[in-house]
Amino acid sequence: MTLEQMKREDSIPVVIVNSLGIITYVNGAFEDAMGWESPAILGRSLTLIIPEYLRDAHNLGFSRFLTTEQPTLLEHPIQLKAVDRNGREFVAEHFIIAEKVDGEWCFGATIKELDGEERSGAGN
Amino acid sequence: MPEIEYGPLLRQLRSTLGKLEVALGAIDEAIVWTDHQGLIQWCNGAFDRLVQRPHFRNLGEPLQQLLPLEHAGAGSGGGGHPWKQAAEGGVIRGLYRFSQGESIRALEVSASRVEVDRQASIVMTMRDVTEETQTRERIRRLMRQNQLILDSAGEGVYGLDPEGRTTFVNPAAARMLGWAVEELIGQPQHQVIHHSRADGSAYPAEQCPIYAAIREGVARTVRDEVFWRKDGSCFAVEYTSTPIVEEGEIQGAVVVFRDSTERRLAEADTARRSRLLMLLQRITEAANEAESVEQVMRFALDRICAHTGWPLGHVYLTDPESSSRQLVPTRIWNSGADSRYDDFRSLTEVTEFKVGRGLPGRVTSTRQPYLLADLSQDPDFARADGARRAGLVSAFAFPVTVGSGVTAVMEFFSTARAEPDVFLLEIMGQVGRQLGEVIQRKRAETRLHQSNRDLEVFASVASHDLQEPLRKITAFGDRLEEVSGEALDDRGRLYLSRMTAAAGRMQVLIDDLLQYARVSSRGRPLERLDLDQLIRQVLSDLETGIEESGARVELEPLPRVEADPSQMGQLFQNLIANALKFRHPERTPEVRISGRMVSDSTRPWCEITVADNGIGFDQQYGERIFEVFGRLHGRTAYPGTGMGLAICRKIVERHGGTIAAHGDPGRGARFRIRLPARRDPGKEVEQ
Repeated sequence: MTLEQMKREDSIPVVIVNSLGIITYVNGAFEDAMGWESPAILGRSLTLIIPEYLRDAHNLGFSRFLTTEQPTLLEHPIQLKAVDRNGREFVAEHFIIAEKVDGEWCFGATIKELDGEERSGAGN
Repeated sequence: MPEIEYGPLLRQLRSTLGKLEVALGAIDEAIVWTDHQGLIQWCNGAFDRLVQRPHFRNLGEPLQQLLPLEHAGAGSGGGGHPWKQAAEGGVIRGLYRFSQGESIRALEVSASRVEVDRQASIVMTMRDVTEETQTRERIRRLMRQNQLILDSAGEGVYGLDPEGRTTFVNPAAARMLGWAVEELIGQPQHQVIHHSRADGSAYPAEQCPIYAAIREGVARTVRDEVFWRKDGSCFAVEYTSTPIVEEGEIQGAVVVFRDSTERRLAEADTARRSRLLMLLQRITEAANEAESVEQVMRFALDRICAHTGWPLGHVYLTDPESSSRQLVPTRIWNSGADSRYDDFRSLTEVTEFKVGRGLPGRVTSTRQPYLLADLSQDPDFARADGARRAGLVSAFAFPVTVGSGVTAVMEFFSTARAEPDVFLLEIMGQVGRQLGEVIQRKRAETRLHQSNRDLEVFASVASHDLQEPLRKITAFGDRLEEVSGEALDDRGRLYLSRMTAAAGRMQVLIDDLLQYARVSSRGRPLERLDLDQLIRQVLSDLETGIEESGARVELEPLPRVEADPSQMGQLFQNLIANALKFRHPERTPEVRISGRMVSDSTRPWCEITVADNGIGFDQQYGERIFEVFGRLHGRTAYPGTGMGLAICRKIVERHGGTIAAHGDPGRGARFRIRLPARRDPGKEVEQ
């Protein structure tokens, strides 16, 4: 999957950030699921949709990839918690990709909320 | 205010954070950060490896479920998960067990609570010390085993540092040395236990082999030194000092030692027993060489006095003439006795004992050696006053036994008190028995010598005094026949002829007896002899008789012997002539002479057999035929004096050999001669 393909996705929430972790794109499904409208979230930090207790880990991991360019989470589905505009925390399957655009890394992710049965384990 | 460029700033921060993340991920220690609820906010790669889960799956997880920990009894902490205790405000540092499936890891855990943004967080670090713990446990067990070995060892063991100071001592070493273990630790060991030699002279540390092992890095074993106890006494030790070398550097030495007092005593006892046995052997050998019984006694007295250091030795003899079995003193003493014992000697030389009384009498009645440790305390020691004046304190005596009787008692006196010595007395008992055998042999030799002298005298008488009248009888008989033969009637001539024949036989008898007597007295020195050649000469001498009888003589190769050629010639001439004389009337006589080397328990022998197919004899006469004038047949049937085989036996016995006859009536006879294959120089048996 590529960033372009992600942008064409309209049934699953998609978010794209630049190398600074600033949100540059969300699709309609994202707006519906997360309660954010595009103008309100574009240009803001991705940590908005990450629970507070995972933000440090996110910042460290994100920075490590930019420093080492060695992925650990990319291009396979992972379960991570997310938080919507109302502060509701939920478990979602993330599929994250990275691409260089004009020499800068850009990251895209699909965020598919999982119900209880779909989760591989409580909290996982 | 200029516009802030957040982009570069963020990039810079990202870069710094990325490097920090990489660094934290590279260390071996697991680090985990949780919020106040215990949910993992961040962990490093070592933590991921510890719980064996992907990094992203650990984030947000409750730490206590992901990493259940059990306190392992070391450090602070105790009950409960360290995260929980840290959350409650404690600072935890301790050893915990982390079980995951069948694997159990030992973790050194540190947990503490920090306030970030007014929020409580818990930081935990974990170091996997499983292998360290296992190694430490193995070392602990090994050290415990070593300690048990050292504690239970019978040998003393101590360690030295490079300066020779004691680093450890096992209980056996401390016990032997009479010090407490803690008193010896840190002490310069040479100065404490090894400062002097056995004779009390100083033992410089630079000469000490134990320290030499440290200096030179080579193990040293010493068997004949002493260690000194705390109380100032010393004991014999044998020790090995082995350098401790680590990475090429000598770190000290380990010394293993044992108390060798008993070993040295045992060695000394063995050496003493060996010397006593040698004494017994020498006395026996020398006694065999002695020319008289008295010389035997004197030699034994001298050797025993020299060996024991006892200054006085004497011999009592049993008196065969005495019906009450009296022991009579002799003037046989050890040579070189000090003059201060003269009075005691004089007293002894007039003191007789009945069997059972006094030291000599007691030894005679019991036939056992006896030691009197204190002469003054023995009421039965009649010469006590004399002994006291001479300064004699102890005595021992042993019987010289011949068969079941006691022929002499040898007694010895000492100026120092002697303690009972079972082995000495046992050996002296053996000396007594050996001397008895020698004395018995000497007496037999003396009797034989006397007998031979008597025979020689007879021979001399026979050769001169008997032969002269015999010659006259023969001569006058011949004259009578010449002068008056015609005048005599037939009866007279018969009488005359029988008289001269009898005189002739008597001459042969006397000649044979002379020959018998001279086997001992006229024998020639023994020499290496070719028996084949000698027997061929004998056969040549007997040629006429062999031809007349038509006999067949078979001679096999014979060994060389040391013998008197003349007597060997006589021996085989008698045996072969015997075979021809006692031939079977219906058979061609056959004589077979063969030889071989044989050995028995005493020595090797040359065995020569002369066998014939003659008339043989009944084996019951196998000995009688060797007797002087021993005959099995009438003179008419087989002429001769009956001296031939007696001479044969005397010749063989003079050579230290044996002869035996085996007869089979009507079939033949076999004579087996054994002569010593090697002869002791100068040895010849008197017959």
